Amino acid sequence: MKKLFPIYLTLMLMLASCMKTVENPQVVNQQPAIFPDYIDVTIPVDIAPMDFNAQSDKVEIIDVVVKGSKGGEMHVQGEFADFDIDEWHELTEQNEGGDLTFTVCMLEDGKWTQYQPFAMHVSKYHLDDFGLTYRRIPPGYEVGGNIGIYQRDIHTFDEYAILQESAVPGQCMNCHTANQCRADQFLMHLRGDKGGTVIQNGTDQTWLNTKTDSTKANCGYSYWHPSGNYIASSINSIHQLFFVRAEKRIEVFDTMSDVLVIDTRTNELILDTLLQTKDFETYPVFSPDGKTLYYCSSKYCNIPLEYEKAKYSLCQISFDEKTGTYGDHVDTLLNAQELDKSFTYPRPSYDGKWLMYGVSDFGNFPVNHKEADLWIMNVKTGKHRALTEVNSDDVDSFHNWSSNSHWFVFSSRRGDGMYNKAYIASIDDAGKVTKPFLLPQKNPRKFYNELFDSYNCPDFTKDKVDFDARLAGKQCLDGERIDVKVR
Amino acid sequence: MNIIQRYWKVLLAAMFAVVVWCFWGFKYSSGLVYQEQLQLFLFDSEMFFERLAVPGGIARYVSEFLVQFYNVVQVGAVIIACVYVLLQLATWKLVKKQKVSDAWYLLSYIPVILLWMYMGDINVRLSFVISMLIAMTCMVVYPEKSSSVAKYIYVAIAVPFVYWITGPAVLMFAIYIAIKEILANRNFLISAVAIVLSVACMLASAAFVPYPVARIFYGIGYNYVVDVVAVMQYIVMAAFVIIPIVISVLPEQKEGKTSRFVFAGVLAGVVSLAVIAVPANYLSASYEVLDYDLLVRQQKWNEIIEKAEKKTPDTPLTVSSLNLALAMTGQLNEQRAFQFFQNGWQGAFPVFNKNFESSLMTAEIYYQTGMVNTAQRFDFEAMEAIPDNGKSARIIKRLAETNLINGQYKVSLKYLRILQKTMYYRNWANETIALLGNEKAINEHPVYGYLRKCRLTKDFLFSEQEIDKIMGQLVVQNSKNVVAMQYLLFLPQLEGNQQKYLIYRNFVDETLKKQKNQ
Repeated sequence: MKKLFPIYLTLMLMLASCMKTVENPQVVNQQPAIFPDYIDVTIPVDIAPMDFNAQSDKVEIIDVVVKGSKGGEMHVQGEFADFDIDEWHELTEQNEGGDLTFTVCMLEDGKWTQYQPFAMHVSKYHLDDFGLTYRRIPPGYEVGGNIGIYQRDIHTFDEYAILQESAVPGQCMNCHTANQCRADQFLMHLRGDKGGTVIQNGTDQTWLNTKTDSTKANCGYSYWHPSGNYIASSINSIHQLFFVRAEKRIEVFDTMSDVLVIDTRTNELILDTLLQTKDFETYPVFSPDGKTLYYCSSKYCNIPLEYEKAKYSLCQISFDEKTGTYGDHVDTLLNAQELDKSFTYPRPSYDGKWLMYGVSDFGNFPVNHKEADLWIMNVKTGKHRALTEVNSDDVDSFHNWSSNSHWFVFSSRRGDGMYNKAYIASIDDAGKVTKPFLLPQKNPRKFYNELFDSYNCPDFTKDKVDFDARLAGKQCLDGERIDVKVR
Repeated sequence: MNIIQRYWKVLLAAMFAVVVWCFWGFKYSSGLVYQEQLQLFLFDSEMFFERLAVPGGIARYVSEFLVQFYNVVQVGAVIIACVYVLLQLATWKLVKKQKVSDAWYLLSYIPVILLWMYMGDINVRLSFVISMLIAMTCMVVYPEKSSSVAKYIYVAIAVPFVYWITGPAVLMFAIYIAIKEILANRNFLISAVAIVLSVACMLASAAFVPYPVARIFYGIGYNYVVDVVAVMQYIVMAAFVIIPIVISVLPEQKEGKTSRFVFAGVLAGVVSLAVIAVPANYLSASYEVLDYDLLVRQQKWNEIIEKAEKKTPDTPLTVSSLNLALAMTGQLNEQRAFQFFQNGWQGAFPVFNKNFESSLMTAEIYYQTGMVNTAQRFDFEAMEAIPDNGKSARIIKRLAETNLINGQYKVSLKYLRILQKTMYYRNWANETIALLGNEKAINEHPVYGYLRKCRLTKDFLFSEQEIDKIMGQLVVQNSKNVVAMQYLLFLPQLEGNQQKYLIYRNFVDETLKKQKNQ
C-alpha cells in the first residue's frame, strides 16, 4: 500500500494540475444560482455527495471549495460540482452537527465570477437507512408506460430495479409498501389481466387475489400492522377525468371506497360496518403501536358530478391485535367540513410523536392538486400546522418517514411543475423542520432533465430489498393466486 | 458484353438495391417515418451504456442510429437497400465456401426476399435486420477449415460475443456451425457445444435482465409487438441459415444450355417470389393509415384530399385525417365532407384506445382545433403507448410546443434540451429555446400565438361525448377559430341530428355576424 502512495500522489497532483486557476474573479454580492437549490439545506452524515450544477447553460466551469466548520476541505472543479464519495462522507462525518461552507466560482465567457458563500448544515440526526424505494412512473394519464419499482442507495448514487414492467409485461404496478422500512416484509399490487397482490415475507412471495364477492374491488392503498400479522387496506373504485385547460390536468376520484384489514396469517379479510359505509373511506394506516387505525373519510357525494364536494376527514378507530377486531366507534381528528379542506395520506412517525398528512382543497389524490401541501400533527397534543418549511407553491405529497423518524421524504412538483421529484427533510424533537433537499444525483441537471419519470410514493428502506423479480414475473404470468376469504 | 459477363453479380446487386430503394423511398416511405417516430436517439454515452446492458443492445443501438436518418426517407431507403445487399452478399459468401455453380446464384436472394416480405409488418425493427447481418458476418468468417482447437476457441469466444451484440440471432450462428460441422466433418461435439453454449448464454442472461425468458428468445428489440410471436421472424432466421447450406449441396451445373435453363428457371422463381409475395405482405390498410399520418404530420392538407379522392378512406384514423384536412382547407361541410365515406363522430375525433397511432393522430386534431391541453394529453398517451416503452422525438417536439403555448416553459425547456441531443431536431430545438419566456415573440408566432388565442379560458372536465359543446366553447373563445367552427357544425351532421345542427348553425351565424360588425 505504501508503495502505491507515490503513484496516487502523482495522479492527484496531475489531476490538480488539470484544474484551471480561478484568476481575478469578480466578486459579486449574491449567492450562486445552482441546481438543485442546496443553499442552506440540512443533510445527514454520509448522504450521497450533494453534486450540483450552475443553473445557467452558459457556465463553462464551476469551481467549488467546501470547508467544514469542524475541519476538512474539498476542492472540485468541472462541468458540475462533482464530489468524491469517500471524501464527501469523511467531510460530513467530520462535521456532524456543524456546517459546510461552499465558495463557488463560475467561468462564463472566459471570466470568473465568485459568489457569496453558502452553507449546508450537517444534522446531528443520522439517516442510517440503506435508502429509498419508489415507483418511477411517467406523469401521464391513462397509459401506464414504463413503470417500475426501484430502490436507491442514498449514500451513493446507485439505483436498483426491484420490479420493472418489462418483467411483467402489460401489468401496472402499484407502490412498494414496506412494514416500517423493513426490507424483508412488503407488498405490491399489480394491476392488469394478470394482476394480484404479492406479499414478500423474508424471501417468500405469496400471491393473493384480494377481490371477493363481498368486496367490490381489489385491495388498494395499504399499510402494515407493525406485528406483520395484518395489513390495512382500502378498496377503491378509482376513476379519473381530465381538464381542458393546462393549470389542472387530471382529477382522480373514487366512486366507492371502503377500509378493511387483511390477516396475513390466514389470508382473511376483516370487515366492519363502521368502515364500510356509503361514505368514502380510504388511506388506512396503523399507529406505530398497532392499536389505532387512522384513515380518511368523505361524506358521500355524487361523483363525478360533485367531485369538488369530496372532502376527506382524518379519522381513527381502535384495533385489537390479539383478536383482530375494531373498536366500536370512530373518532374524527380533523373534520373536513369544518376546516373546508381535504386530509389524505396520513403517515404516523414510527416514534409515535407525529402524524403527517396531505392537505388539499378537495379530493383524495393530492398529487394532481397544485395547492396540495404537507401538514403535521403532534399526536400527543393534537396541535397541527402546515409544514411551511417544506411546502412549495406546487404539489407536495406522498410523504414517508425514516426508520428513526427524524427524516421524511416526499415528492414534489416544484421545479418544472410536471415531474415529481423526491425531497428529504429532517425534523427535530421539538418539531422544527429543515429546508428539504432534492435527492442527490451525479450531474443532477442532466439526470433530472433527461428523466421522463416522476418519483412516486418514495419511502425509506432500512436495508437493500432483495426481491426475486424473475420469480415474480413467472408467478404473475402463471396467474396462480390464493383467494382471500372474508372472516 | 465482357463487362456484363464479368460484373453481372454486381450489376444485379445494384439493380436489386435500386428496386429496394424505390420500394421504400417512394411506395412505402411512410413505414420508414413511422419507425423513426417510435424512437428517440440521443448522442449520449448513457444511452449507449443502457443499450449495452441488454443482449442485442448493440445491434439495437446501431439500428436506432440508422433509423434517425429515416427522417429523410430517401436516405432511409438507401440504408435498407444497403443492408439488404450486404445480407445477400453474406448469403452468397456462405454458399461459396463450397464450390457452387453460378447457375444457383439467384437462390441466394431468397432469404433477403423473405426478410423483405417480413418487413411488411410495420412493427419489425431494423435491429432485427442488423442483428442478422452481424450474425451472418460471423458465420462467414467461421474458420471451417481450421483445426478443431481453433474452432472451439472461435465458438467459445464468438457465441457469447454474438449473443450480447445481437440477441437470439446467435442461434442462427450456432445452428449454422452445427449443421456445417455435422455435414462436413461429422463433428457432433462442436455442434452441441455451439448450440448448448448459445442457449446457456440466453438462459444465464435471463437472470440479469428484467425480461421474461420467452422475450429473450424472441429478441428484446426485434419487434415492437412483444405479446404475440411473429413466426415469420423465425422463418427468416432459418432461411438465412438453411438456404446457403441447401444451395451449397445442389448439383453443380457446367456451363452450357442446361446451366442457362437452370439460371432462367431460378430467375423466374426468385423474381416471381419478389413480385408476388413481397407486396402481398404489405397490407394496404396498415400503410394507408401511415400514409395519412405522414401527410398530417407534414400538414399536406391538399395531398390528403387528393389521396382520398382516389380512394375514399374508411377507417376512423384515415377518415379523421381527411376530415382534418377538409377543416384546415375550409371544406369541412355537408356538401364536401359527405362526398367521402363518413363513420360518425369516430371519423372526426377517434375514440381513445391507448394505442400509439390513434392517440397521435387524435392529438393532431385537437391541436389544430385549439384544444392544446387535450392535444398534450393525447400526445403524452401516445408516447407512453409506444410498445417497447421507448420515447418519440416527434412527440417530444410536440410536447415542447404545447408546453410552450401553455406558458409552462420549464417543462418545455426540459424537452427542448433533450432534442438538442438529437441530430434532426437539434436546430429546431435551438431556435425554439430562444422563444421561451418571450411572450411577445410567442404571441406573434403564427402558430403558437394563434393557438394561444384559441385556448379556452374557462376550465371544465373534458368529455368525449360532448366534443360538440367543447367546439362551441372554442368558437365562443375565438370566433376566428374556423377549424373548431367547422367541426361544431359537422358533428351534428355526422349523427344526423338536424335539430342540433340548426341550433349550432344559428349560433355560428350570429357569431360571424358579430365578428363582421366588430
